[in-house]
Amino acid sequence: MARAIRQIEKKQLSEEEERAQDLQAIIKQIAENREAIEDTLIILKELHDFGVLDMLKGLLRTREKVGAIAVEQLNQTGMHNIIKNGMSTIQLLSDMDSDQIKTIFNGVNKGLERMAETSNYNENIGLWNLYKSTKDIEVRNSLNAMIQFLSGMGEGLSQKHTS
Amino acid sequence: MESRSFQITVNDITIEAKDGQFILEAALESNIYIPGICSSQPDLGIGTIQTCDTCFVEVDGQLRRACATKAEPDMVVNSVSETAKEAQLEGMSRILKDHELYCTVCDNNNGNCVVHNTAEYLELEHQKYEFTPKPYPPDNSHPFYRYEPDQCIKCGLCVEACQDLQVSEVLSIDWDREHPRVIWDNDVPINESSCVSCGHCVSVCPCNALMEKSMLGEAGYMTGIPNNILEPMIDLTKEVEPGYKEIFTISNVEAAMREDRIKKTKTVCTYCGVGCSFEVWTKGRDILKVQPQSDAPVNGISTCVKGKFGWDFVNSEERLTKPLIRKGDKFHEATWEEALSLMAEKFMEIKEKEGGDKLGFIASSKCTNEENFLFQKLARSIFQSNNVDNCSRYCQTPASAGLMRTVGIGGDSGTIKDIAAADLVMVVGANPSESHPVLATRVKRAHKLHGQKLIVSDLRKNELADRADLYIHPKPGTDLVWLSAVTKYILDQGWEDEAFLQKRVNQVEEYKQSLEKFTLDYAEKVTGISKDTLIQVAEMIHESNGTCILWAMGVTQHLGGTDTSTAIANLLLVTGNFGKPAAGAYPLRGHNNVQGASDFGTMPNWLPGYEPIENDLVRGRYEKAWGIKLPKNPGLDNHQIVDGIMDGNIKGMYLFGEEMALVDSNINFVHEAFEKLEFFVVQDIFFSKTAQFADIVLPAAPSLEKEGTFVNTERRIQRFYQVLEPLGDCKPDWQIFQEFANKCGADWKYEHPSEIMAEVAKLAPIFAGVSYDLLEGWDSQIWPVKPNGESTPLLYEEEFKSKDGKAKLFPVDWTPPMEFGKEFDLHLNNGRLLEQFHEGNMTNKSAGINQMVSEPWLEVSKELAEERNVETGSLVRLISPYGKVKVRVLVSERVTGNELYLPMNTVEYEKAVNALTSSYYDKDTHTPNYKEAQVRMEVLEKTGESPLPKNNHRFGNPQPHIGVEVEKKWRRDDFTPIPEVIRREGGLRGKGNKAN
Repeated sequence: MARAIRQIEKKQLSEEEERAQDLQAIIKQIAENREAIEDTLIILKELHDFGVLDMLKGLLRTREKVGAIAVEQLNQTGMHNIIKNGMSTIQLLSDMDSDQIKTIFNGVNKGLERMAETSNYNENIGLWNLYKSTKDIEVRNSLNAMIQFLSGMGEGLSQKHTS
Repeated sequence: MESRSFQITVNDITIEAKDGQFILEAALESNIYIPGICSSQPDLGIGTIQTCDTCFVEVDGQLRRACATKAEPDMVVNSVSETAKEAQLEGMSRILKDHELYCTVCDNNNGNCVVHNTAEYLELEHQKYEFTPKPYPPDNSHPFYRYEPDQCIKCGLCVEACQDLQVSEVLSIDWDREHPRVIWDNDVPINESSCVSCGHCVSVCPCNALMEKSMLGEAGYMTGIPNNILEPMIDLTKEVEPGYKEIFTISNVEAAMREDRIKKTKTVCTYCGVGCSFEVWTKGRDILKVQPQSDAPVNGISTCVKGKFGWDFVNSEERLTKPLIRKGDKFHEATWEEALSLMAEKFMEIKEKEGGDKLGFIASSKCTNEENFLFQKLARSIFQSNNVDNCSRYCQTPASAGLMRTVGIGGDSGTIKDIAAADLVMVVGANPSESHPVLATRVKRAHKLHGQKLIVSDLRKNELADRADLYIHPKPGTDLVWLSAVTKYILDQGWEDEAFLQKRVNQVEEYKQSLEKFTLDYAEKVTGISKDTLIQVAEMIHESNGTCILWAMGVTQHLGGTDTSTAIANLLLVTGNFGKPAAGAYPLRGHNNVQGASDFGTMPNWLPGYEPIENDLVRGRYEKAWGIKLPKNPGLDNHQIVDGIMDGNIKGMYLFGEEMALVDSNINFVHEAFEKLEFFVVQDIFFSKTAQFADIVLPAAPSLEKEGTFVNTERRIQRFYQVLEPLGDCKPDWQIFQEFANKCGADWKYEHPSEIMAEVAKLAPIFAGVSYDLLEGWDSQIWPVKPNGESTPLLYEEEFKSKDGKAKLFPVDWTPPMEFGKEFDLHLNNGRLLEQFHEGNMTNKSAGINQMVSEPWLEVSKELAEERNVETGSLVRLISPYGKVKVRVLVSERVTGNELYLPMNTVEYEKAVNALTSSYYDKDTHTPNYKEAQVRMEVLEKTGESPLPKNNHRFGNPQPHIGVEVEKKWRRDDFTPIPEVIRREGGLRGKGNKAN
């Protein structure tokens, strides 16, 4: 004869028993991952000594406030420009032909060397001398390159911004 | 019919296209991608909805929508020309005017976001039209999903799904207002609309406009960020506009990272017998969402409220997690060792002292095929008892019996596709919209869009009845009479399928004679259905190319339930509606695995695959395999087991996954019996009403926590995978059976359910070719399965299952329904409802579902309410000779006259309809006559609160449309066709001639 009953006597683990079970599980995991944990501890110690952990702690505990401030700061016209310019520069770099850039940088480098060799910047250089130097094949190459650059830049400037 | 195919060229590649196919469809079939957001769900209803304008292609120099332009022989299509791309980009830009791309912090960024992926494919760089917020706040009123108008791209996939697939006709787009948006009914909050919460709209949404609330703030790594940080972050991103390419890179990385923590597992639904399958997305134990896929063989992307949203029970605090042993007036938690040892000791003692036939075994239609197989193996081999049965005894055993008498196989003749394709669907005594919701969608869609005819016979004017071409309301328990009269009329008119009868059916003449008394006059008198209506039914069957008859408990739960099922089969035989597509008999199975439980042998007279236990050859096969003699005589069924307890013939009982104390009929009697058991073990996931009578309660694992297979109403075997670890100490049922068997001396060593299935395949011929390898992923098998693994989706194409391969017309007579006596003056009908499953042990753990429906209500007709002076909210007592209940009234037009309806969704004894039902039963199968109850009614309180909350969908105001009505969009003043824009803008750039 078994009446319908509803009461259930749960086996209540005492707090200590539960704690002991949890600890047992953790110790098992630690033992299984000994080396990784030892390394981690070393890294943690270094970070702690350096004060990084302290800083992170502060940052994490105030994450919502700091996050809001950070995003707020980022969301300013100046910052927009920085980000946009940064992106444009990166875009520019990615569009440039590395061989061409190498040739140009080589030229610039030589120019700089020559410039450094010139001892006296204060020496007056007359128009005649300037004219004379245009006959120099190297100067002419350089001028030609600059004119081509100006022409290309002009084309670039007159092109509608399409992207 | 194979349609003609021909070649077209897409982007210089030659591909095959079929007659009538659209360019987009043909291209996708040949793995050529053409964008098309609103084409991402092609199989909803009307097909192409043409709202997104991202699929423009160039055909002979003209811009055309690939989704709506039919492929023609030798057509040359270009989807990547400059003009096509520009047109696609224009379409996408318009979409992004309505949709902010903040993918990385969006919960829909899971790699499958159609808007994201399309924008990425189009290499969209910048926003052409500025995103403008719409003047509508998000609608968070529904417990399970939210609508965010600001992110809605108005593609209308949700509308199409609601209007033309689910056919609840709730959603539409109001194109006439300044800022169009999706509206529910006539623009009410979602929670106050007629929304049935099926989830179709959410599942098909190509972005994050409609989302499961369980996903919000949970799916992404950064989506839980508080708004005061999130909003400026979105602003910042927009302000610096680095180009979408960079945004997509980051969002793709984030989406890939999500794969690490969101697990997607295929499962098969654990509720009704339709057998929907879908992915469950989990993060740890949290269920993020249920995501159906078009690959699912039965349901595609369809779900109902329970399958889509009803899974809270899995993580319920009320789950059983430890074995319990009764000691005195309390249950005490115990270890498995203690519980199983005690069980083995008690059961073996009864077996040895009094015999195995003193033990009863009740199996579960909620559990797997493998578990049911093991359970009957346990009963038969270890305890030498054939007293094993499952709950199909409460529902569809009469249908199976009726079919076995006539055509030979107790299952649906075909699949859901046959039902969808039928010319005529007849629904008799069933309410698929609530009990088989996804199956009902296929009928509703075919009826709404494809000219299918629908006849519904029911006491209640349920949803399908409302939509039917012909609704008939017979007097309770008289279906056999009108079915037979219609059959006779068809024969009298010479409308029978003469050739079919001649070639494939026996006992034709004998049967014809048995129909003599079923004249139209007699039928009209008995059933109350007019002769004209009966003739109309006959004509509709006669005029249809194929008729499917769907039936359920309204037919089976009567004194003559098997006979009425037989009458249905007879009618279908006479009209030649077996063995051909889009026709046949469809007894709709109620539980996810009620078909499988019977198929796999938890029945007193059948071994797995419906082979009789008495047959020496059959039994011998099992005896040889198991190395033990088995009892020859059929055992007791559910009903006889309860009687057996009362008579002292059953001493011990083992029951799993069955709430018998609420769902058997005449539960007061059943409770009394349970109290008499010497030893009773109940295995469940919850501490059920039945468990309260147990001596030992064992904690089992639900479907999400184990592997196995279910058989749905189509005879389709589908496999599901483990989603979660078993909670606490609970275990999958098959493991419990194995451990118990081994405690009793067996030596079972199953390590995985696939090994159990392999054993079944060797033993039961109809499952010969069933194997887990052929059931991987979305693959399924439909029994009988030949040894080579081939399924049989359509039965009887060649022959019926009988000795000579012929069907049999089986004469039946009408058994008038039970009468309780004059003082019980009201007829009481009962059944399921949409939101809560069955008695509700699982679904009532969902706060959202309880918010929709939390308790049963008594449907009372307007006439009766007036006569008895009750109103919605009145508290009444119903009294039958067997018990009484106390419930609140809902005055409803679904019922008429003196017919009441009380759904069974309660676990409270005081409201349980089965306190009123009797212990009488179908004369052939012992299925209780649940549908033949009468009561008297006492009014306890005249006024009170409505038992059905005001926000329930039943009070909504649906707005039928055909699809999304894109023409209204095109008629708007602010709409310019994309080719026109391209022409104009192209012209400015001097490339104008290209598109002309």
